[in-house]
Amino acid sequence: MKPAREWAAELAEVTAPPELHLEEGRGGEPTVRVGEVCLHSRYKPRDEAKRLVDSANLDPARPVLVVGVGLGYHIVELLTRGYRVAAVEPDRAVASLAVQGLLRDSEVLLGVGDPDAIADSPPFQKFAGATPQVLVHPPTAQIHPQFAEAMASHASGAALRGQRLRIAVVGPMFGGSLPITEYLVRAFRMLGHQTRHVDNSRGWNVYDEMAHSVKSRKASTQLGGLLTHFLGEWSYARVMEFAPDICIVMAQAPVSPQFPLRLAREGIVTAFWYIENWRHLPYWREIAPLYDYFFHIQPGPFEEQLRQAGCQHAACVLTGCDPASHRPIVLNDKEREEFTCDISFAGAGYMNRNQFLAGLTDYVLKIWGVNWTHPSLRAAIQRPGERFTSELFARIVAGSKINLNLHSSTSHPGVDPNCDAINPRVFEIAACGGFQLCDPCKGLDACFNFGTELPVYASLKELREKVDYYLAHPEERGQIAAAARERALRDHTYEQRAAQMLELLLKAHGARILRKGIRVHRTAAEMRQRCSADAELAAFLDTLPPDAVFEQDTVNQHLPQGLKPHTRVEALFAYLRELRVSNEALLEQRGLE
Amino acid sequence: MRILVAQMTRMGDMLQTSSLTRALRMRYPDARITAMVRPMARGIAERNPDINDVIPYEEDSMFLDLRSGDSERLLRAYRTAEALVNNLNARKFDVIYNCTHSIASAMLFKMVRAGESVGAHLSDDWQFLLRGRWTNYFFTSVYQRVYSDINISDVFRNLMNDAPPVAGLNLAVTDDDRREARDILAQHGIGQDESLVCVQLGASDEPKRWPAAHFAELARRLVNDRHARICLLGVEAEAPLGEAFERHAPGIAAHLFGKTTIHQVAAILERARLLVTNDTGTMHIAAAVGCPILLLSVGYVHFRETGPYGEGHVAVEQRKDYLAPMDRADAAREDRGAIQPAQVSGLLDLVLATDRGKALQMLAATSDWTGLEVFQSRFAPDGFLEWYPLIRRPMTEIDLIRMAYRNTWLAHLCPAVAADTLLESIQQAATCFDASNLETVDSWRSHWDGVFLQLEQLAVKGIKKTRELEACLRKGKSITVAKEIVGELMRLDEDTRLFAELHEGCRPLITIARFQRDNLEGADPMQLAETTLGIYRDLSERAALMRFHLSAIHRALHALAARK
Repeated sequence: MKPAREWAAELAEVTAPPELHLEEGRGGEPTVRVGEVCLHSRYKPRDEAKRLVDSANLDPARPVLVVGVGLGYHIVELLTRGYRVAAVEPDRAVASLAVQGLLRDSEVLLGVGDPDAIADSPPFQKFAGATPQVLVHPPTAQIHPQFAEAMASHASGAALRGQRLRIAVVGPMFGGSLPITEYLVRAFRMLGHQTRHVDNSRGWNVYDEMAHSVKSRKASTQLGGLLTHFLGEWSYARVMEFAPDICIVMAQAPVSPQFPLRLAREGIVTAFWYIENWRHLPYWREIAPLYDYFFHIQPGPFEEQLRQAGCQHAACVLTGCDPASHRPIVLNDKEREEFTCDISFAGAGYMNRNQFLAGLTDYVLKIWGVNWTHPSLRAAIQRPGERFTSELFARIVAGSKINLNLHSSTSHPGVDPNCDAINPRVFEIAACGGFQLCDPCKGLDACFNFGTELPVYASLKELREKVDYYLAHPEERGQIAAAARERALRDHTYEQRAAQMLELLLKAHGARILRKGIRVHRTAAEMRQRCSADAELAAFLDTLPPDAVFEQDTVNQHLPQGLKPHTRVEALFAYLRELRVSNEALLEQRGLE
Repeated sequence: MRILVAQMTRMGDMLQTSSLTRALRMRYPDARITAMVRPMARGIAERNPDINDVIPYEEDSMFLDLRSGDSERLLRAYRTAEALVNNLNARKFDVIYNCTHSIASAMLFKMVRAGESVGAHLSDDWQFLLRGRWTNYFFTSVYQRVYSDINISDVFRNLMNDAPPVAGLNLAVTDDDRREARDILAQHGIGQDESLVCVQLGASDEPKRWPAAHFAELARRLVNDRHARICLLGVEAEAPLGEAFERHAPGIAAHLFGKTTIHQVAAILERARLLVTNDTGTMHIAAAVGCPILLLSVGYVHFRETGPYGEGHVAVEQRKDYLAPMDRADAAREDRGAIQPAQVSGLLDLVLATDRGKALQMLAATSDWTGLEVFQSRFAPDGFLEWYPLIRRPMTEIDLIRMAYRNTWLAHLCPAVAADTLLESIQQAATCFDASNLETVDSWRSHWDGVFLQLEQLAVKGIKKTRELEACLRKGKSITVAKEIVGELMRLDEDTRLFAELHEGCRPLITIARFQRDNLEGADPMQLAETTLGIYRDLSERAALMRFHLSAIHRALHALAARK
């Protein structure tokens, strides 16, 4: 990619193919025809170019990447309007006409030929880094649709790579996906993105109190619906105020099916993370087609079901572990007394688990969680009725010689051979450094090595054999646990899941995010480096927390409030603060917010 | 001399500020006058022959950058502001007239070194204050608009000291503009020699709009009775008003919504016989190019303040007999359609008369004008624009107080205007009323004379107390004594405030005094005391002037009655 004027010599040797015809238009200005497609109007190509630019609704503050040069009328129109422009053209013969004509002597950056080669060039990468808007020349796209698509994809990929995005994660009131919401939020932040947790957990206390205080089931259902509606509207308001690039809605979040459609109208890319079993909770059928991306945890037949339901983009993204929460801990004496056991199980008492664990009561067995109803398990239940936190979970794992994992089933006793929804516990136990025995859920062998990291069992008999073996081989237990932890931290953290989601979202919808325009977020330290030549501004930036995003809220917090500024820089930022406040007040007064 | 006139609000405001640039040019023919304006007003400023150059003020783009939440755009906004300040400093202005009066503009000019600054500014410790006597008036008049009788263009003009009178607003139209206007009108079948009437249906706010159906009815009468050609002016967003017009008067108007530049509109209005309009920016363009204007003053419009600045224009409003000022809520409840097209049609001869710049032509007080007030604009002997009622009727209490205030402000803020001239203005204004309620007017005069006397006495107390404070400070007496006196002054302030609550007609004087107090500059106690003394003196003098002018008005009415 190089300035158009530098292409003249190289492209002068290009022979026009037989299907390319340069023609004089009826208004006197030339146009070019490739096969049956005219690249410009035969009558008034400049008016046509004006209309193209007008209809694109471009932001004058952002540069423009033009895909398809034609003879350059639309490029000239953009330049006249003061835009910074770069262009790409698949056809060397067409490009040759342009650089001999309207783009002769032009400094406009031009890339010609193979889209991958253009995208790999440093000038393209640099231009794309300025998050340009993409303007596709329709006739070019008609002739070269793959080129147009590829360039748009390259542009968004290059533009968005390394950019700090704004991501909202809407969480549930309650349940298993609540802690996962927090882990995901932390993960996005670790990746450097500005992330807002739209937290609905406080709604649970209200719901719980309401449900206990109202005997009528009909009334409590109605009230629950009203609460859910309120939380949904509140979630919407918080998301809109945050104005993210991407909004991820977690399973069980109290939002209506219309929620993603409302956000999409504002240009926000939406995703849903369905961390449920699709066979048990069928609400996915209604909502999956409404999101830009539908993430789930069950590969295989579910994906075909999703396609049939009209879901355009779906992908399996497993749960994982959060190293900050799931880590080995050392128990004190009192904790050792409470948590030490041969076998532990931490989780809800589903039917198959109640039945299966009843076959282990001759071991020192400790069970944590709710809904454990089998009479023979009574003595094993710890802290009855109490749900456990990640802190408590880490202690459970630390105290257990063997951490038992059995995927839930409401239809199959014991080990469900059809299980294909890997639960978070697999990764959490591993990250906590615990030794785990697990049933062989489908897909688990891709996550852990069954020989060296995660021994599995397919029946009670097999489990008991392995329990006996590993209770007698503590060193081997320790080695396997260490290997599993290493694997979990390497391949299965939420940071990796978050990165996976983002890669998929940007590949499918990056162009949309780019079109809307992302906010470039730089830290104060980065801006300080950029502005090092400006001593006054640099000195001010030094007063800001280096990792804080350089935005007006950060700056305002470090200005004298209501008092005389100490420096010219402070005075300028104080002026900008007042300018924004007064204009926003005016907008609000006029009802234009 | 290098002068900056900063008018960073709307296009209409820039036009209204041309009275100041005209006055400055008359006083300083060789000065370099620079205007700083928003892009929307640039076309107006560039066509002002008194302005040498224009600095664009990009507040909108800075605001969008700030709102974006983007780090690079925040830096860009900072650089834009920095470049602006550097540019302003490089020009070394001798005087800056800040006609914008916002806190943001005050902060901006605080960073600019200039010989003198008039208008909104910041003290050394960055507190907002107003510099200039007329600036204080401008800020406080919005709180008592029912008593305000001074056009904003006169206020702007008088931001400079001893401003000479000017003939109107200023906007140059070029031959190219005229040619383009001809072409646009020709495209709509309107020939050069045809009688053109322009109509402005829109306004910034719905309560300020006369109904489109009424405009349509009036337009039909203009077409049928006077063979006029009608064109509807406005921006593209106002096109739906044109559709409403069209439903009531199909096919009689050329719709030019969004099809013209400001300069083309100016040329069209220059050629038009009349503009019938709501209170809008288009009205000011018409005033600047000498197009006769018929203004429908509905809702919360205060035409005396914001009406067209020039002679011979006519304003029509619904008669209001209440004392309280009309706010937006009241305006929303008002029947904007109360002014009937037939009534307005009856005024056309008046506004179209070729000698409309000469003597006032009073309207016969018939039932045609029931519920209506009609006014015509003239420059009074004192050089300020005045709106004279054309339907002779008895003076109301509001009229009396408003007239007294007008002359009080002029007497106090424009010492160059001779007292005799102000009396002449009063006599001229009095001729528009009938003197049938002299006794009632006298009772009002007597009542308000007593009220302003009490206010004068409160002000005199303030003078005495402030002198005591000065003496205390000069003699170096204990801080406790000084604090006691300050406490007494504060109680006096509170008494004065209460007085205004009880006697609404006093509020303009008291409000401006409070503003002056709130804008005290400096920290030196002696200086503050001296300034406070000045404020009480002003209050006392103004109260005395109110009494004087109330009597002068009463005498003028008596003389009128005696002549009859």
